[in-house]
Amino acid sequence: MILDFIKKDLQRHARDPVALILWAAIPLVVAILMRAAFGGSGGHVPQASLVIADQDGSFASQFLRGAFGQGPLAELVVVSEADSAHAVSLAADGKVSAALFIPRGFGSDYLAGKTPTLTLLKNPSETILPGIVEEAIAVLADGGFYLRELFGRPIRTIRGLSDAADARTDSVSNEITSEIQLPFQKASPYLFPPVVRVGTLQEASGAAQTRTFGFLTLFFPGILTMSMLFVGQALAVDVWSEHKLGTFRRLEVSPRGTRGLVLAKVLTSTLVLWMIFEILLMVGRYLFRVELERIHLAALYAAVCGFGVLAALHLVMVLARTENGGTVLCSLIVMPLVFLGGSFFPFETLSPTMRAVGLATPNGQILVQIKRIAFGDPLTPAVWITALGCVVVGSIIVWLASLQARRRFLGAS
Amino acid sequence: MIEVERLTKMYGDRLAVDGVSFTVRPGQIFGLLGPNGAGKTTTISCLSGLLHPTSGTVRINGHDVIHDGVKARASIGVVPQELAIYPEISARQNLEYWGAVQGLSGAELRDRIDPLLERVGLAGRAKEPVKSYSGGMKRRLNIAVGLIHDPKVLLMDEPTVGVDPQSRTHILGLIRERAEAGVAVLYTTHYMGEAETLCDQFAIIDHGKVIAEGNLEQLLERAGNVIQRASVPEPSLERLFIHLTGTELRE
Repeated sequence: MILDFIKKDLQRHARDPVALILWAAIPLVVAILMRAAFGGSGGHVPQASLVIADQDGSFASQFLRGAFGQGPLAELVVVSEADSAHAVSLAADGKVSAALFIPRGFGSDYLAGKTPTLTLLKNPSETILPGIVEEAIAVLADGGFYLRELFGRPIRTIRGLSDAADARTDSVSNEITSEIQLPFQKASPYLFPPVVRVGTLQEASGAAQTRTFGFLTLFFPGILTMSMLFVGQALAVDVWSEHKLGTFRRLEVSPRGTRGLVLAKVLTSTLVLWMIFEILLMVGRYLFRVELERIHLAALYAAVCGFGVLAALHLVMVLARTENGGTVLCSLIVMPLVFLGGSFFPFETLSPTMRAVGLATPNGQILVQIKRIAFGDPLTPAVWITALGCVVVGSIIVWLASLQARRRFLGAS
Repeated sequence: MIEVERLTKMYGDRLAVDGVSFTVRPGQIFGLLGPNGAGKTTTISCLSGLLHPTSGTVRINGHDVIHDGVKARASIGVVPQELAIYPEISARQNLEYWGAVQGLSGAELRDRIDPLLERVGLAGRAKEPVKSYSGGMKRRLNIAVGLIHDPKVLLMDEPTVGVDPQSRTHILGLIRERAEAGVAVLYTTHYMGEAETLCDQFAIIDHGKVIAEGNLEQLLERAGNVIQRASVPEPSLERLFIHLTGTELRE
């Protein structure tokens, strides 16, 4: 009987191809916009542009400027220098993500143990990239604090020597050497060898090694979870149409009754989602040239996980007293999940706190596993546990939704 | 056969149906008449198993609707007051679905659909989505859905509301045909002329109670007495109905 319910709903959806096209098109439009915004699939991870106005010119300020050119920060932030007025105008005109002002006396205040203030002017038209700069500066400030605590005295001595070259003596050199060496000696049991050794358990696949992680690559799997939520919400409304059409009551007076109707609706929605995921992933791979692998498995996996999300949305719809109430209630749940769960903002661009929050959302967890599949990474037990969890929890929710639908539409107890 | 004994239904403190009893035999068209809010739809809902009676019993073809609900419901064809069909899909797809809901499948289902579509005058447009149909066509499909499994009992709640005279004539002919085939029909309507020409047994219900019962002659005889007292020249079911239920507007 469930197959008859599914067949009927698929026929109904097939008779409304515009809705189907729109459901698939909305996330695609978002992807196209993102592609345009970030310069195509080959685009690199977006870089923040930072202009530094160094009014101090000291050893410490040079150290700060230099830090942006080191390691991972150099990949995230492109640094240029300008005088204060020019830096202000660059930030105001939106030509840089942020402008950093290092005030006069910064170096001496830093070495003297005072708390110097750096001023960061953020481009108001950007959100994520100025945030990256702000985070980076906060990390550097923390690093600067510990550096001063550990090596403040020898640094001050060296600085003093450079100002008075005649004072260089062997005793002073020995004193500086021993002051620098002492903290290292204390820390050496912990540092050499390291207490925790990091080992590579498994080599990444060839494709993964050569993959260029453009922004669209990071963003694209999120489109699947975005569709899961948006399309899921649109499909879940259909449970109310059974009530409005009077077909729920008519079905109840048949020998079969309404048992299985909600399950069939969730399964139908899952099938529709599967089809949309296949389309999206193929468009991503062949049209946008996003480096995606195992796309059929990824589409199927996303649909299976979507079963749980769809079940929850159906339950929310029938918990509400009216169709409009259900739609509003679903929106109140779906929108934060979309924003937090890595669909709009890839986890890679979020702060650690927000990333932790995002990963705690169901769609965030699903997204992580979809990425694992779509990027050709090893399929860990977490992949299958997540899918199984979605099916088990989804089944329980479907049962609850069925009971609630009878209560809501028939007044049954 | 429909057997209703002392059927009572309460919603909280409100008494919607108050000790109603009647019997509809095979081949009989039983008119359940009453103003809005009289308790007709509640009675039909109890008969179909949609509502549980507060007290009393309802048997369909000998099966108690509460204790033997599945068998009872298998004998019932329900034609609800509001359309209960899917507008996006075609008449054929609707009948396929509702037939499957009634447990029909394969050749048995296919063999029933074509004659039924022909009988309700929808064969020519059977593949078009229902939303493109006129009101009368939708009503006819709504009835066809109730007939797809060839039920022994037909519960029809104002099935001709809002249809043109041609469709109404067509629908009434279809109902007579079913009754002649031995189906027990419970029929509610607000059109007294329609009830006069269609039904062979009546119960007039108001405030949840049966206030008059019998065939047309018995009721008109009673109406004749009323006419004599009220000096009204032409006795009719409609005049009797108004006399019994009053002229006050109902919700």
